[in-house]
Amino acid sequence: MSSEAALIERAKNNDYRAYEELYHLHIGKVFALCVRLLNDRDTAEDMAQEAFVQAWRNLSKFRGDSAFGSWLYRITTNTVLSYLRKQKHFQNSLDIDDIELEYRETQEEKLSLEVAIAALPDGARAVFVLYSLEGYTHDEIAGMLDIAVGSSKAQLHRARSLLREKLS
Amino acid sequence: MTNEKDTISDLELARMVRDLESEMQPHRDLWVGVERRIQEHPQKPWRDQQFWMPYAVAASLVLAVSALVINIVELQQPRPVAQGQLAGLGEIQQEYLQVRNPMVERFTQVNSALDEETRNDLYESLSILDRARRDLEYQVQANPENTRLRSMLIRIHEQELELLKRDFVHSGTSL
Repeated sequence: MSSEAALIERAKNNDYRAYEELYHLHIGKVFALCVRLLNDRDTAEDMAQEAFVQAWRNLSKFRGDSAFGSWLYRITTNTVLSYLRKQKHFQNSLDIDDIELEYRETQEEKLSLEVAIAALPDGARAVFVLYSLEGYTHDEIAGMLDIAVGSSKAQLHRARSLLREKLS
Repeated sequence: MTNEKDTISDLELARMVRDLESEMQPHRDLWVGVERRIQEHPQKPWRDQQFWMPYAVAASLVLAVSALVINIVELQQPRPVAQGQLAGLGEIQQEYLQVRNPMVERFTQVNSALDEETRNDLYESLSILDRARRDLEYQVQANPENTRLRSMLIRIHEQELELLKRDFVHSGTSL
């Protein structure tokens, strides 16, 4: 049994210290995912915390069919998207007829990729992060964001165009 | 706007994505808040949370299928029953609803502490029972003299009431 699997089993038996170790193993990636989806570090901290609480509540259902990290990042994605779906500006940004054509105002002329992603319109950023960084398919993204598959593809195309333009 | 030939390629963009830092650290220690909140919800064994589900679903499906099979058999071999000896469907439903409605309210309160996914499973199970009940009610209405269909309907009422009586937060046992 790997040490992570042992930690999971101990956590399932209410060993909080084991869960704390799992937290420290994964908080970096969980938080990075939250930051990139939300573009707001304070909210990202709240969402990362919420993701670990949700993972704890569902831990007894984790059977080890996938890696614990993948399972946890899926919970994190769902937690963040559940939050974003309630935000009107995010919903508006998913409307394919109203795709923002330009970046938000930034001070820098040439951006790092991290800053360029952060400056993308909300909908395009979410689709880009889910597709290009997290490896979800357009079908999965469409389901998660409650949009058409074509809209997901259009948002990704827009995100890539804006990134290529800004990074050149 | 940059010229097309000056923009970076998809390949370069993919390389930059691959080189992104995979981790970021929050400014504040989030563990303190996580620990406080998870201690309010200690782990319960999987068995306690889910063991009853397959039985609830299986039982309701068996009942529904049995009812249809029995109905077909009974339609082929009708047994005469004197009118007035049987309680009408409306009467059965009224008695059932009088007991059920207060139990639904109590059930919602008692099991509100369950985690969302388990609660959804529970409601899905109740919904399956509900569909089976509606099918049976329809069959009873179409065949008012069929005593076995009535028994099945009453049995499914009892099964639903039995489920509604349960406190899944504290009992954690199977059906």
